This record gives sequence, structure tokens and C-alpha cells, in this order.
Amino acid sequence: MPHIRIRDLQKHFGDVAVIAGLDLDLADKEFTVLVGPSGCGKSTTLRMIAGLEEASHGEIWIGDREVSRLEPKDRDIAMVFQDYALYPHMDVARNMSFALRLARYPKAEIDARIRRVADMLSIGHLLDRKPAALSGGQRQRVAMGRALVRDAAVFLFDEPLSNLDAKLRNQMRAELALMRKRVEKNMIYVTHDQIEAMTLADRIVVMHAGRVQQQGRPEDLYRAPANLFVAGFIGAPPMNFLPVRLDSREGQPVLLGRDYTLPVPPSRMAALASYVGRDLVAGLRPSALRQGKGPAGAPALTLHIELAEYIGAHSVLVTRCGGERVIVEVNSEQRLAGEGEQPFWFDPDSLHLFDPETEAAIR
Amino acid sequence: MPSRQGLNRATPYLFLAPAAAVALVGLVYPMLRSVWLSFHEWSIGTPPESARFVGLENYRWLLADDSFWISVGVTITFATAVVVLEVVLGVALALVLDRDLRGTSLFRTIFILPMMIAPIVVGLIWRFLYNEQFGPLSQALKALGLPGIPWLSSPDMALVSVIIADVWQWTPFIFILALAALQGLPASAIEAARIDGATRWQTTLYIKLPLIAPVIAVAALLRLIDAFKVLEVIYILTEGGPGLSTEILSLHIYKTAFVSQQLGRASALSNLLLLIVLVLTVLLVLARSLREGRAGKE
Repeated sequence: MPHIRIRDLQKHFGDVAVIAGLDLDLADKEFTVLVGPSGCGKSTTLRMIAGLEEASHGEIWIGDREVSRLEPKDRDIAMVFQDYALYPHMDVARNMSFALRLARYPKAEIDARIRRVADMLSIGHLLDRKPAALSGGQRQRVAMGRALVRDAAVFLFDEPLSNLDAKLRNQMRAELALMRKRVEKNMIYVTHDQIEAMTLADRIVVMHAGRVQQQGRPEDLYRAPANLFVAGFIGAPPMNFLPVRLDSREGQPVLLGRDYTLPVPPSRMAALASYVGRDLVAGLRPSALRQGKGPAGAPALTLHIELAEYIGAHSVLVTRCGGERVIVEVNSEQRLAGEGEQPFWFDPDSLHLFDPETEAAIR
Repeated sequence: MPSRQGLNRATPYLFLAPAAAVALVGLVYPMLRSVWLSFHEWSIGTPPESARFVGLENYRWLLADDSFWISVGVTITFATAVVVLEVVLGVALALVLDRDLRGTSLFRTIFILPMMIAPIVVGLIWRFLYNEQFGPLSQALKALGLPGIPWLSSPDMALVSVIIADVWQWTPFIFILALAALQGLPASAIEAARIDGATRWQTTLYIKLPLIAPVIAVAALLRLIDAFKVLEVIYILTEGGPGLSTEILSLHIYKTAFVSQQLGRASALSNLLLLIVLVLTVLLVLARSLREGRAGKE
């Protein structure tokens, strides 16, 4: 029984459809991340779940209640905002207890909850401070604390880390990952950062142009992206795309590029039968390419190295293959010296193929 | 080198000097002159040298004068009533119109019109409205079969009537400032309150009002200071009457100076009023610096 069900959710601003029919099923106690570039509708979706934005059409079920026409306060949700949205005139303790005080919890119960959550977030020493006297990271924690003291059915996070600097963001991301193990609740988290999505999510929902592009476990999205958009969005550095044509040479199907020829992976032969003579897009992860001469029969590419960016453990090679730019990620230890033409190889099964018209993956 | 350093230190004062000179002539001299005059007895039209030094006599006379105390009472009643009513009405209007509904911008424009009208004209408008024979208010009451109200002719009603006129003119001032403060509030904090379970009313009470309170406090003090100095509207409407029922301090000063021609006593009165307004102003500045101090600490 899924705990949150969304059916054909739509949002229009005038004639513009921001969300064009969204369906989602979230299992109980799942951490779901809505991820996508800005303007993809992920925040609007979250705000519709919260009740801050009215849905133009569709249903939102939390448990066995249809909530899409209810006020936010009647939906049993808690939310962490991108700009923290702390009450500037209340100290930290009063910020955290506001919802509980409105719900007329006994004072002892309120104090106990605040102490527990404050300890969990290490903000116990800040309880009598006003938000303006806190650093960005501390405000962030208070905003989390204000949500966590509540017994809500669903917790919503709207890009909660995007206002923090890089170092603090990494630290908070790790803490969030730890916290979500302790707080067994439904959580829906919106971000444009695919690393946050990958590290935190039980389930990732990739959104683009108001539609769900793909949803699933982080591993599934990385290994088997459903279309060009997901392939390009999930994974850093992003996947390389090479235009190819499926052709036959001496009875064997091959993928012809401008200056390169790739063999068709045997596992893909059947799916590709109807594509002979047509254009395709071949996708290769930067980490799938290995420098040097591979084992006999392994597909090979000759890449012209233009730039080697040393990052630390890894180096990123910016290369050209025919007219296309190809990014290669290599282990710095094994980095070969030199620029110019170098041989590379890859495992045939690491090759992704897409239909350029529908942009869908061919499997 | 030392001379140049001295010059550098003096430079800011050189730039301030013209403004200081103007303030000296236009502000400080009249004030000092008024203090000097309050210790003398002098009539308009006679040479200043004929003024006779009387010490604290003018003040002693004032404090013993019933009409002075009545005037103080009227002024305090008037100022308190208008400030309370204007703050309550202005904030309430701002809360109602702080939303994006069709027509709200038109309403906002209409509501601030009274503030734009010259006080003399406001007085004339209300004298017409309050006219007990031909005024629209009396006509309306008559049409409804209700007895007429002695708007300006009864001592009790006259003060209420001038308060109504002032509230009509100056509620928009509070309204504009309250609306600006409301629209400057962080939208997400109000959304957070909705998520936290606050009703519209609780959001107003616990989030919006506390956050705009500092602005409202400053606006109310400004109105209070102004209310102590109001003159034209009351002069046009009642000239302080009937009896002394609407004779606020500024009108009392005016009459003492130009009707009774007792300039020394009028000066003493002015100085007392100045003292009251000064205390209020100091309160205002203190409130503001307190608020800024808190903002700085936060």
C-alpha cells in the first residue's frame, strides 16, 4: 500500500502547463528526491503536495485521505524551506515549538521534544538565540529542527542545502543521510543537485519540462537511464553522446560515426533490428573509457587529448573524437603522459544507445 | 603637516557650516526668542524695547489658569483618540487589502486620497458634511427618520466630530506604512506558519503583527506628535468651541497670541507644548535606536 499517491497532477499558469500530468507512488517511509534543472516543476510539485500552491487538476493522497483541496495545516505535513523561513521575532526554541504550541501540546511534552531534536541536530546551545544571530548553517539546522519536532506524516524539503557554501553543504548532506536513518518517515526532497539526489534518495524522480522522465533507485537511473535527458543529467561528469548510424558491414551490424566505428553489443542486437540504416545516439560514461589498448575484440576509440584536468584522485581528460567532444575520467595514478592521439577502449555493455527522435533508450 | 591635519579635521565642519547657519537663524533663534519672550510681557504693535520682564509670572499664570488645563485635557483626549483609532483602522485596512484581489490597487489609491488634501480644505469639507441643516449627514439621518445629531453645536459631540475628521484624514498614513511593512514581510515565513498549522487569524496575530509592530510604533508616534500640533481643521470646524470643548493647545496658543494679544503668555504656552512634543520625539528616537540596536545585534 503506497503511502503517498499522486494521480494526474497538473498545474497551469494561464495557458502554460508547468506540470503536465504527474503520477507518483511513494512507499511508506521512503526518501524520495525530486530532481531536475530549474524550471522543471519540481518545486511547484512539492508546493502542491504541501498545499501552498493549488493544483489545477489531479489528486494527492496521503495515506487514505485525498488532501488536494485541504489547507496546508490539515494535511499533516512539515516542511523545510530553501531560505529557512524562520520566524525572525522568535528565538530558536519558540521557532521550533510554534506548531506544537498551536496544537496545544502540554509544555513538558514540548520541552522534551525540543530537547531531543535539538540534541540530534547539535543546536541545544542556540535555543535562546534569534535567527538573525545564527550563521547560515545554524539556521539550516533550526529549520530542520522545526520540522522534525512535529509528528507529521510527510516531511517536505525544498532545496534545503542550496543556500549553504560547498563545504557546509557536503557536511549537512552527510548529516541528513544519517538523520533520515533515525527518522523513519516519508520524506520528499527537492533539489537540482544530482549528487544530493544520488546520495540521499531511496527513490529518485527525475523531472524535466513538467514531466517525470524516470523514477527509480539511484543505481537503476545511473545504470539504465530511460532517455537522453536522464542519461545527461544523472552522473558527473555527464555522459558523452556520439552521433552514429546503424549499418551493416560484411553481414555484421556496426555503428558508424564520422571518424570512428563501434561494434554493436551482442546483447543489443535484437532490440536494434528495426534500426538498420537509421541514425542513433551512442552514450558513454566518462568513467567507462579506459586508456590504452584493450583486450582483443574490445571496442576501441582513438581520442585526441586536448586538456588534462588534474582533480586529485581522478583526472578529467577533455578529448575530441571526430567532431565530438568526449570527456574521459581516469585514475590519476594511471594517467598516461602526453597529449595528441591516444587509444582508448571500453566494455561493449557500457555503451548506451538512444533513438534521437523519441530520445528514449534502446534496450 | 600638522596644519594640514588640522585642516582635514576641520573639513567636515566647513561643509556643515552653511546648514548649521540656516538652522541657527531659522530654528534656534526663534526658539531662544520664544523662551526670552515667555519671561516678558509684550503686546504686538509695540516696540520690543517696551517689553517688561516679569520672570516666571507667565508660567505661574498659565498653571493657575483653568482654560489651560481644559485645553491640555482636550489635547490629550484628542491625540490619544485619533492615534488609537487611526492605528486600529489603518492596520486593519492594510491587513484586509494585503492580498492580490481584483480591485485592491484601486482601493489602495482611494484610501490614501484624504492624506493628499490640504488641512484647510479638509476642514471645509467636514464643515459642509456636518452642517445641521443642509449637510449630507443630516439629510441622510432625516431621510431615515432619525433625529439629527448636533455635530458641532454640542460640546460633547463637537470633540467626537473633530476626531472623526482627523481619523478620516490620517488613517491612510498608518494604512500606507502598515501595508508597506506587510508586503515587505518574508513570504516564506508566512507559508511556514500555514504549514505549522496556523489559521489565517493566528498567522496575523503571531507572525504578521509582531513583525510589523516596530513600523507601526514609529508611525503611531509620528501621528501622536502631529496630533499635538493640529490646528487648521479644528479652527475651521469649531474655532475651539462650543465653549472650550475642542480648544486644543495649538488653538489655545493662537487665541492667546492673536486674539488676547498676550504674546508673553502665548510664548510660555508654546514652550510647554514644545516640551511635550520634544519628550515624544525623544521617545521616538529612543524607540528607533532601540530597534536598530536590536537589529544590529541580531
